Amino acid sequence: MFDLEKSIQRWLKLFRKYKAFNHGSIREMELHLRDHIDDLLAAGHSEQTAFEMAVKAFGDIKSMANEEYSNLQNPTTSTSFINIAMIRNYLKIALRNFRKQKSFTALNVIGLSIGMATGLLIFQYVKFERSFDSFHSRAKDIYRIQYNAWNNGQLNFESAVSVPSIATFLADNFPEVEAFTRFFPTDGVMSYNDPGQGLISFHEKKMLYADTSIFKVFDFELVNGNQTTCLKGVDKALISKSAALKYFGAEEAIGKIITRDGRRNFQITGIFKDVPENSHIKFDFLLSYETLNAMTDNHSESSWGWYDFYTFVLLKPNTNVAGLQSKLDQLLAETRGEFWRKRNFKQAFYLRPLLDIHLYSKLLYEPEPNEQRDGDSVHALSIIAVFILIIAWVNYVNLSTALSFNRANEVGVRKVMGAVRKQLLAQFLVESFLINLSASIVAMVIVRISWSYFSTLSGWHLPLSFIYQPDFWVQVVALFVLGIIFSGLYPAIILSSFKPAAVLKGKIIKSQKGGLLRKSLVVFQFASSVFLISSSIIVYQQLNYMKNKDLGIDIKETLVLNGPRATDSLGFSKLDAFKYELMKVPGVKGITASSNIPGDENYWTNGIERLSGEATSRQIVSTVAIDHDYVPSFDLQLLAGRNFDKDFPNDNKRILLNDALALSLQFKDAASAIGEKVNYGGDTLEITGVLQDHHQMSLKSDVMPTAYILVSRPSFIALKIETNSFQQILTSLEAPWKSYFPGDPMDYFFLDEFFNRQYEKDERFGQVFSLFTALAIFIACLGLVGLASYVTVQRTKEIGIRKVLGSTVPGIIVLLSKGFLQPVVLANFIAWPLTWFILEQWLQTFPYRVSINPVVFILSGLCIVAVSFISVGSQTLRAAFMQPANSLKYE
Amino acid sequence: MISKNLTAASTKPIILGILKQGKSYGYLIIKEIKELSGGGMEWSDGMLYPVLHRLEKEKLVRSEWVMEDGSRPRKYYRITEKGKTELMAEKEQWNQVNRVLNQIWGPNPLIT
Repeated sequence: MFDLEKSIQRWLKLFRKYKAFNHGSIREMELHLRDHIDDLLAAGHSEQTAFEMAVKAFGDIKSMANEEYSNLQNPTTSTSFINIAMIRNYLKIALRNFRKQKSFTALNVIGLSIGMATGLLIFQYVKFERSFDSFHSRAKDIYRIQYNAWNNGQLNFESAVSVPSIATFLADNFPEVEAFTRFFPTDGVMSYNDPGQGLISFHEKKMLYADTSIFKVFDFELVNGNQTTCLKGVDKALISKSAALKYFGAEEAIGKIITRDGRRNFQITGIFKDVPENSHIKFDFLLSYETLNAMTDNHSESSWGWYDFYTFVLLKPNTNVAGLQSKLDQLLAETRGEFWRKRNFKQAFYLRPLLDIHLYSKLLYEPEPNEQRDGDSVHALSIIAVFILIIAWVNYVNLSTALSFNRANEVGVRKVMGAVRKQLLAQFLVESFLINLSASIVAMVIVRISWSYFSTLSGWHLPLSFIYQPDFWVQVVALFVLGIIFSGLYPAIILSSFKPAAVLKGKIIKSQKGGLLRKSLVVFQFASSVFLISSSIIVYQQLNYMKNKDLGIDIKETLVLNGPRATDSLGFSKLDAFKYELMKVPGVKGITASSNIPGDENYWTNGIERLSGEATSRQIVSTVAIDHDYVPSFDLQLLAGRNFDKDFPNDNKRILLNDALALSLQFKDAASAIGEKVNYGGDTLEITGVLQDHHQMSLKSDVMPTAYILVSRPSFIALKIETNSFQQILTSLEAPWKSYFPGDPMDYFFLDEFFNRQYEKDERFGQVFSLFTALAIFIACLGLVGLASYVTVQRTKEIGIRKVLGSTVPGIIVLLSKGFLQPVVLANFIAWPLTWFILEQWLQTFPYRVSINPVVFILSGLCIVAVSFISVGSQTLRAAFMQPANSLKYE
Repeated sequence: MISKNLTAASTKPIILGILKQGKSYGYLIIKEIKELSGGGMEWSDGMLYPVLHRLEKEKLVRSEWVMEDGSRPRKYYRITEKGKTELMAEKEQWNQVNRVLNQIWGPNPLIT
């Protein structure tokens, strides 16, 4: 009897002899045959005939197999079928592994992403600090003239401002100089008489006298006005866009008249785009240089002694600067040498690159001293970024090599099944790729979210556009790729190197080498952490020291009013009347008017020379004009002599010195200076008193030799007040102020806040530093938690047995912690001397500094030990308290 | 009877041409070819499958298994965009051959 089903199955067996047919295609043939047989049966054939006909029609199986086989052998498409399948398989295994070890995967991703985000943020910050002045297209060819002066062979000062004639001297004698420009900084009250709103006036602190060559040398942008003519002629002014808005609102600013200090009218001839934040020099007004020339009898063009001018030269491209410098030195010696010898004096002018000013220039009279940065600290920050990244990568390496022993069997089986090393490497690199990819994405999110916070912390307005610029993405990709290589390659090599025979026989693979490497990496992590902690403590101590050190001058509870400008020169009588009026306000304890206050850089200098005793040459000193109340109000101490006194009408022919000046004038002591005569700015004055030194500027700079003269020049009026009645005092001040100085706005500020603004950027730097320290420690601890939990799990059985045999809980904790504390303690001993060495270098840049206290090291060491004990402790405690019955059941 | 070589050469345009009219499965394709040629083309049914598989590998067609209630599962083939382009190219070649042959054997025969 014919059995159709059996016959079909027998026929199908013929196909299975050939590798060319897979299950799917055999099934396809079967269905074909059955369809055909059905049709033949329907046509009235018997089952047997139908089957035979269908098989005959189907044809020769061997030739079919050959055809199929040639199909398989000819690769017609470029993407190899096998690779796609393998990658899919790698991904599958990787994801399966991540799922199995959720917490380790999370630790890895968190650690890496924080590390990456930190690195990226720091790189952006450093980029901004380094971008200063780079927006000028010829920035590389622009040099600022530094001015050094010597008296009696002793260096008197190194200054960012120099004399006006050096610029013309350079331009006249050296063809390398393509153009030059000079700025003379000034301030004053600017007023605009608005026909609708009346007088609009502000105290403008950032004004420069300049000429049109500013646009030749620099790329400051003029939005309205003619670049070549706008600063030609006297009494012309350019105004920044935002200042124009402040004074004129929506009205056209060009052509408007603005009055300076109630005396001089300037015509607005142009509007420039606000000076970018990353310019080392900042200004809201540019006044025509010819005005200054007219006011100074052309001294601002030809003086060799008056040094208040920021001078910039634009050199022709590829100029040999060192060569030009030596030619300049030589020519100066030839033309000016005679004059110098006569006065026992020497001048030098150095070409300093514009691009180095923000980070590397520390001269006297920098235009924005509070914004100056220390290039080394900025670079130190990028090194810290790299350290944090390494700490994060080390975590990955440690965790994955530790976990690798769990996967030894997997590797063994894969190798036995025919996997070659390349494929195993690929497997582990795919895992590293996925971890780094997720970490990069999380890092991007962190960077974006924390941008504005970080920007505030940095003290600048870091432009958000930074994260859309290609170099940012290059960094992201670079960190991603480096992450895969640094963190993925080593574990991959270790893992793929397992010998299958050893692994599958159950041999314990615990390479001493791997353990040692892990330990040294942990040591590295914690040495970095100890370094960061102790550094931030010392940085903080130094800042605190500077802020709290006795300045020698009392700046607390002091309200300062910007002195009147618009009102005609204020004689003592008028000032006295005003002071008398203010003294009646309850809460006001004292008033003093002066040309300068602590924290305000003093540009006013004069020549001074002793007329008696050992002849000393003329030297240049800072000058402060004060009234009779200055010394008592600021609680300055007299070392000898007396203060200016109203009972001595001739005191305007007398002078006060600070101790530093008395010393540099070579008086034996303070007392011996009293009654001596000096030539001061052409006048003969008698020394009436010597004041103890006090800090005019922050403790970042030394005390300068300073002379005090009795002149009514109230740039500032300082009020000693009771701060709790500040609001009432302020209200009661308004009426007298308006009646005495109708043309002036009443600007006020607190002196201590003003003074401490000098430390603002340093404090921010300290905060940034501390933040990254905390992050670095956090990442390092993540790694430690991971390692601890892994080791604890591995030793669960051991702990159980130990407990059964009578170990106590504290004993177990000690046992487990020991392994972790060893590297941490070792890290301390490595980090301490290193930190001491580096921080000592940093502290030496301060004239007033703390000394490094070893307690700091002990403290940060203890701190790290505590932190690591806590991170390891939670894991060990759990293990130690586990019931031995449970732990022995484990596995 | 059409020779084996010519059959082999024409298989590709024929299959693509049939699939261009809509998706189909192996047995139906064979049936259609046989009907269209009036039995003139000598085909062994099985040889269709390696050709279909090759076309699939070349991405000229793609396939899917379709399960329908009450009937056998079928592996359906359909033409891809690439397949349609390929078909146009094939058509052009066959037309050229056709034109040449027509001129040779046309109303004014050169060779008789």
